Amino acid sequence: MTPGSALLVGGSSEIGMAVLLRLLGPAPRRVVLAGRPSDELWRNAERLRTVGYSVSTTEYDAGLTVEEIDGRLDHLAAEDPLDLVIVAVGSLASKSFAEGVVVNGLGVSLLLRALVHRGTEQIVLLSSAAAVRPRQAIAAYSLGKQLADSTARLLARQTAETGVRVLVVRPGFVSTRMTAGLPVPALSTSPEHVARRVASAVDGRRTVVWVPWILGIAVRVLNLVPRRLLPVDLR
Amino acid sequence: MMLDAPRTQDLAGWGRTVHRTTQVRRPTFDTALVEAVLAEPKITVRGAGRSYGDAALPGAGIVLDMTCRDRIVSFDEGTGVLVVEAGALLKDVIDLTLPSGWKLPVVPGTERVTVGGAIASDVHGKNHPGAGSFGQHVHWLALLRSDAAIVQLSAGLDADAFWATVGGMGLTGVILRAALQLERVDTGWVIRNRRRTRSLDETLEAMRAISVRQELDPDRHAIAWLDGHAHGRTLGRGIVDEFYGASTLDLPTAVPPFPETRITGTRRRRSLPGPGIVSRATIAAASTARWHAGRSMNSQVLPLRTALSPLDRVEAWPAAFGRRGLVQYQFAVPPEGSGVLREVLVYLGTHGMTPALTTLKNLGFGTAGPLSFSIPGWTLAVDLPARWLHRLDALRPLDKLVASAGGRVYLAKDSVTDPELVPRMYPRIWSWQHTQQRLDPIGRWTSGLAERLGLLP
Repeated sequence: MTPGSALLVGGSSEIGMAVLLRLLGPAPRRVVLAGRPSDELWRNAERLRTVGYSVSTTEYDAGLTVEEIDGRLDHLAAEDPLDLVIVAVGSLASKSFAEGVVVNGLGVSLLLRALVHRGTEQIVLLSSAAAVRPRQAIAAYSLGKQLADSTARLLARQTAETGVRVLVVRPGFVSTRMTAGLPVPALSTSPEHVARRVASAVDGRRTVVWVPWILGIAVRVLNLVPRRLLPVDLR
Repeated sequence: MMLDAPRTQDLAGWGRTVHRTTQVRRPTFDTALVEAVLAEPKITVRGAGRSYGDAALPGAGIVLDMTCRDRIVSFDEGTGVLVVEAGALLKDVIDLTLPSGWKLPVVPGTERVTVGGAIASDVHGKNHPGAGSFGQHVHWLALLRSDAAIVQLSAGLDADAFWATVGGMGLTGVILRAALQLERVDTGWVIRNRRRTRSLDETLEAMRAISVRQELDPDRHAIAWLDGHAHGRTLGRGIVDEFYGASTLDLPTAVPPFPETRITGTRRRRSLPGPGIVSRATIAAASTARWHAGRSMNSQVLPLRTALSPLDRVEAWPAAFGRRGLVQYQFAVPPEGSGVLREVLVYLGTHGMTPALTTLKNLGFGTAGPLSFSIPGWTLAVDLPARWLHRLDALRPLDKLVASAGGRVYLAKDSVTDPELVPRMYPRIWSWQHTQQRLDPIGRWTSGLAERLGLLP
């Protein structure tokens, strides 16, 4: 069967692109990159075009309403259905607490629900370890990711018996443009490593994957330790 | 099909500094247009010819004149969505829609530009801080590519091609049709508040205060006319006009909500022989008289179209500059680059280039178009007789000033910019070039501007 379109929401994301390239399969295939207009978004589109994919870009904003999300998805799926969607929306640099929660959480949750209702075959949410281990220093980001992560897991349970599959990816620190200049902690990883782990989790039909795998255990252990005993940057 | 056969014509930019004798085709039907596109290796797309320089003049090849494709396809009075052929003038759109209470959200200084030209130049109005530029009100556009395929572009699908076409100076293909979102208005009148200022600092302060209001109200317009002849402590003095839409309550009862404004003057005036009537003496006299005559005054009611399109009342303006024509130098600088405005005025004054017309506007947020002109800050436009620019590089020091302040010149009006500075002024040009090459891999589209500035990949 000819695959439908693939959509990357957060089309300028480095991790998103690495995962997309790993899951896309051979060209030709129709790919849509959605995101705020930016050089990165358009550079990524050119990268895919040069290797033979048929690429469209679309403006996408985390502040869209439910009706706007539906309208946008109708538009994107007009030619052929979306069967692979990677949601790589996230920002550590939001202007306000409210915007941070909306961008990382509410907007993503609404999008995930819309995608599930449309029967998208495979949805991959790039969540974060911060969704399980919220930190004071990145409170809005953590809370947003927590909301998106929970929504995705609920939807995964709800659609377990249907053809829709939802995968939640929880990377720790990934060295990308977004984290450039930040001190690199232990267990840091790369976009390519995330992509490899995602590909094997998709094949294994899993619901949650940690990158690196040890991070899941580390976070659970860390959650047992009283916060006041931890160094400030881990609280 | 006689109408579609090529004709030899002498064409000029609006400023009349550049002339070209060239083959022009005016294909009325889609089939003839496609034939013309496939037959010609090099094509320059032209609208109403209101670009001051060589943006719509050919470097090589023929010119496609799109003004015959000027049909209003549909207008939904419920939603304000207008579908129009790209050759239609903004004037035609306003004539049709204003009486029913809808207006174009962005109108430049003249209504006599085509819709396609307004998109290709991503023109701005005097309300940019609130309304943005023209391209931000385009739902979709139909583009004829160089391989004769017609594609529909929007910010929703193929956003990079859409934003490369908005502000893309007609170099991505032929814009055939566009759907525009119009804006409701209560009346066809505006209220003008006028303030006379005595120095550049005072002018900038007045404009800054208005820009705060403009950001909150997309229908609030502002422009400052500066006395180009003033110098020393009075440098930059001028008249600051602020307009906002009048409601029916603001109008006397006898006044109809939509005035019958017909902006007259459609005939092309020939250039005056010799140097024209614009000279240092006439500029000095006219500027001084205008400043003294322009008293501060509030709450004057004016027809919207008269207020927004002053250029249409002075159709003969370029003709007044004589055979050599006029150069309009317009640039934008970020808010912190206001010092550049002073330096430019001082430079022009000390080099004997007193502008015949100097206008200052506020700019708000930019657009996603890599070649779109607007950046947040200020834009200053000066009209100079071309005969004063004895050397082509007379304004090059200004290019450097503008570029080093993070600013840029307006490509739609350019005829003198230093090509080497274009990538500094438009740092995302590489992104535009990528998309342009995708849309036109065989390099069919061209223009004098593109060749002079090396815009194409």
